[in-house]
Amino acid sequence: MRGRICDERIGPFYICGKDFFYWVVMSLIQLKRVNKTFSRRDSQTVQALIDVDLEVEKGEIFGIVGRSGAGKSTLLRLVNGLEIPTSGEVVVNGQVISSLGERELRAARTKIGMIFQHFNLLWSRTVRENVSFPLEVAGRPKQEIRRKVDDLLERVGLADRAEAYPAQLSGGQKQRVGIARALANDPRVLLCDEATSALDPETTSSILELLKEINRDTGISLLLITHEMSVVQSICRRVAVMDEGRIVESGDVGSVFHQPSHPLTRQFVRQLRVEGVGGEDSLSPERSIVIRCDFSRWDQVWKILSDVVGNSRVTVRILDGELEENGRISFQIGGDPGDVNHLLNRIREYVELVEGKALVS
Amino acid sequence: MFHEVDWPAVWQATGETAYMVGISTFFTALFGIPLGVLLVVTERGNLWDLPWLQKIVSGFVNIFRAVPFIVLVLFLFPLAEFLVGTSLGPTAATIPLIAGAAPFYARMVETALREVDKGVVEAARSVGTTRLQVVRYVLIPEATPALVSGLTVTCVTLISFSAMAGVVGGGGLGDAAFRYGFQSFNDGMLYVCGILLILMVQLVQWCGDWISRRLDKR
Repeated sequence: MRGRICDERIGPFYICGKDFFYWVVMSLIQLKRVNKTFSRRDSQTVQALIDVDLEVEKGEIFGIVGRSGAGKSTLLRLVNGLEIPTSGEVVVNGQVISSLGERELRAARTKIGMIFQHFNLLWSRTVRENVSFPLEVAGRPKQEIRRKVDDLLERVGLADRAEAYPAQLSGGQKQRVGIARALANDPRVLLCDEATSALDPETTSSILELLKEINRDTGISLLLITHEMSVVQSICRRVAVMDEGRIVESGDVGSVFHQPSHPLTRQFVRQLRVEGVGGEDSLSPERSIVIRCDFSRWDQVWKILSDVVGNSRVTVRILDGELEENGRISFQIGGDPGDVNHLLNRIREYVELVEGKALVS
Repeated sequence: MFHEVDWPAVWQATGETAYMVGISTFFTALFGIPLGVLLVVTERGNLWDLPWLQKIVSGFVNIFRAVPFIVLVLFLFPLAEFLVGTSLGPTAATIPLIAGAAPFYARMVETALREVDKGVVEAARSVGTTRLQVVRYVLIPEATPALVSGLTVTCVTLISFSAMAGVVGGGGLGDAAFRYGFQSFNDGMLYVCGILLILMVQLVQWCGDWISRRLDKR
């Protein structure tokens, strides 16, 4: 839908110039043919980003996934001007970040919050003082700061820990402080740099829940980078997959996940499936396997499955899949190893084993 | 043995040492911290990225650290005379003490500031701080425990350096131990002065550790 709007307005873009284009598209962040090259000490250069185009709309949650070293981190830092592109343009809130002077850049940054994998809190300051830091340096009056910080701490659920030092908090609480600090200046964008990668799964989901809530209540846009596909799946609307400095695939999370076209994306989606298995309860992961087959072969497999499941102690659960041509179905089989093996032998020619979970072979 | 100890002279010497070390520690911090900050923030890729300035400051610091302290004392006779009106006495002795200790402390400040997590600086930049604000609100407060323990080490060094201040008539415990004790074969005087110096070092170290621990919230 959004793509179509763009195409229709491409005319006015050329006629009326850039400003009109920004106004029409309403995208909050735009990267246009951005390149970033780092020169190292030994005078070699590293191309961190190659011809990157990206648009993030107001109020949306956009995820970027990729392995470490793919350039995600550099991309994120272009948005608030911590890195300057070698060529191309970075536009945020209608301002060309890549060409602002220092003073304007500082002003622009107050409207772009950022949270980090390792939280990056000031350990010499209490929770309250950490959250008030952005307001203090902006020279806001004391009373206003106090009120605002109280609200923010309430919002992230840390009102009772205001006087604690970061060293006394758990990882999840530290990230909540990070979020409160990032929101202090009421930004329009929140950049999340692997924000949940240092947290355990349970804490991760509570932090993601909080981010989702904030997005819903304030309409803030979220641009997050991660190497965990499950993070993207649980909160993002759109996703871009990065590899070696390029965006190799992007689109709505649903369609990218169900029909991944790039090999790397497929790998990530597979990672997600295996991750998905880990949390299952009734089928213990140690005693089950995950199998995938093309939908076209599902009929044959199902015949065998229904037969076997009726006659032995084997449990089958469908994990995910798309009921259409070219779709694939993943399912999990658990139970007595002998029975599982027996079943596996009968369906072997129709299916493929998902790596990492083939404990019964 | 202790009947030979000239107690009034001992107390006067103790006072002189405390005076010299106190004043020079204060000024060492006053000059050493900005120098150390300068060494870090002008580095390539850091807040100010002025490598030429970094080289100048670093060279300046190295020169003062390379010169042996006793030579520094003699070299700085004219400067002491210019600044305090005389080149003799405890006040004059603080000039070479500061000149010797400030560059030493500047290097310790440099190390302490480098220990501050780069991510925290990045986080501060991302909320729209100026570079000066990063120094004031992030680098220095986050490094304070290390700055205090560095100053403690410097202060202890100053106590031992101050013994050489006798050359310019600065007095102090080191000078008293040497002149009244060693040269006059007065063992009691030698031991008393020595013990007082040890106590002084212990006291400084203990206070420094305590303050540093109190400030450390990690």
